[in-house]
Amino acid sequence: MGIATETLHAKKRETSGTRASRRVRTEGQVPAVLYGHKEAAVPILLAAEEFGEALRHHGRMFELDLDGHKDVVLLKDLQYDSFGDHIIHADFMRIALDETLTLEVPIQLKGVPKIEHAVLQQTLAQVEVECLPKDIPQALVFVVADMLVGDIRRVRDIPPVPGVKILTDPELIVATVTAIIEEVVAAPAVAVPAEGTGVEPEVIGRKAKEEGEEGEEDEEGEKPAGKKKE
Amino acid sequence: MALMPKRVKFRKSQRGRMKGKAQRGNYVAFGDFGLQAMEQVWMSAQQIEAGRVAATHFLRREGKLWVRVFPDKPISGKPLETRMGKGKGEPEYWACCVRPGRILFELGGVPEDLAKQALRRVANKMPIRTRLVVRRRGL
Repeated sequence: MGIATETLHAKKRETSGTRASRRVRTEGQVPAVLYGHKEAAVPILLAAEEFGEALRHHGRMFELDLDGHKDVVLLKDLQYDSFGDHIIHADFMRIALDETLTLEVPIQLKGVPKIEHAVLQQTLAQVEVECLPKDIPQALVFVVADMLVGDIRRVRDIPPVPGVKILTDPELIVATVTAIIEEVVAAPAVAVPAEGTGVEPEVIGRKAKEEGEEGEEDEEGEKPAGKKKE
Repeated sequence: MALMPKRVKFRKSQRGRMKGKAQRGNYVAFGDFGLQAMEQVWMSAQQIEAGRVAATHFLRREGKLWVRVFPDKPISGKPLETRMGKGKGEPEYWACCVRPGRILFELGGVPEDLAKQALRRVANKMPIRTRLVVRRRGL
């Protein structure tokens, strides 16, 4: 990444709440908030098209033009709808270019390990780093092509990036290669009951005696109270 | 054997409502690709199992599959040719309340084309419309 290049145009948002936010979304705008640097949080509005275009360039730092007043901001958080298609809210934090930042950066695994009957798993998707705005990396690239079955890579194995300090626990596991154990389907010892007569789970707090009593009651209860009409 | 809870507090549950969209479990969290529900349904344990079997048979010993739904809702029913009344029916099967947006299965450790083929087979076993989604990296 680097210094902010994209300029986002925003205006102050006068309304708040679910309904008002839904209304502005239908008008092609994204509600957002701007905060940081011990200044008051300001609810703002962005043009969805312009914001989406800026995000496609993988930027996280922007110059935010709020009614003529320009700030360098960092995109702190994004909220998506239930399908993950549309952005419904964004958080921006004011930053100074000479001030160190703490933020989360994704880990990108590079390469395909030459393994058979094993699977590469990424257990940690992002790490917390501390750096200057000009040094914010797009992602921390981690080569996994040389991994073998049973290998583990930890946060401490991430190659250092100049100007970036990793704050996440160095012992945390980032990627593992685990052998796949073939599923053995054993023949059931007892006949599997058909659907509808399945084995029921244990009911918490109910004693076996009570269950027996209820079973008897149920049997009685099933008998018709009156004479059955034909 | 199909999934069901080991222990429950109550044998039967009320039906509840399925309004709204999935507010949790609506993003790919473990694997690289996911199958996302586009409709709402009570997904039975048998249907979940059918999906799991379809994927594991296709992939043989490659990749890892995560089942992101669990049937924790007992669905009761009355036997055939029974008159109404006489209380609530007995539990028939276990289901999971799936709302639109919910990730049903996730797949990791396989190339995209193979994942697409596997998840398409899973989708054919599902009682609702689904779509394939890719994990989002970063924000």
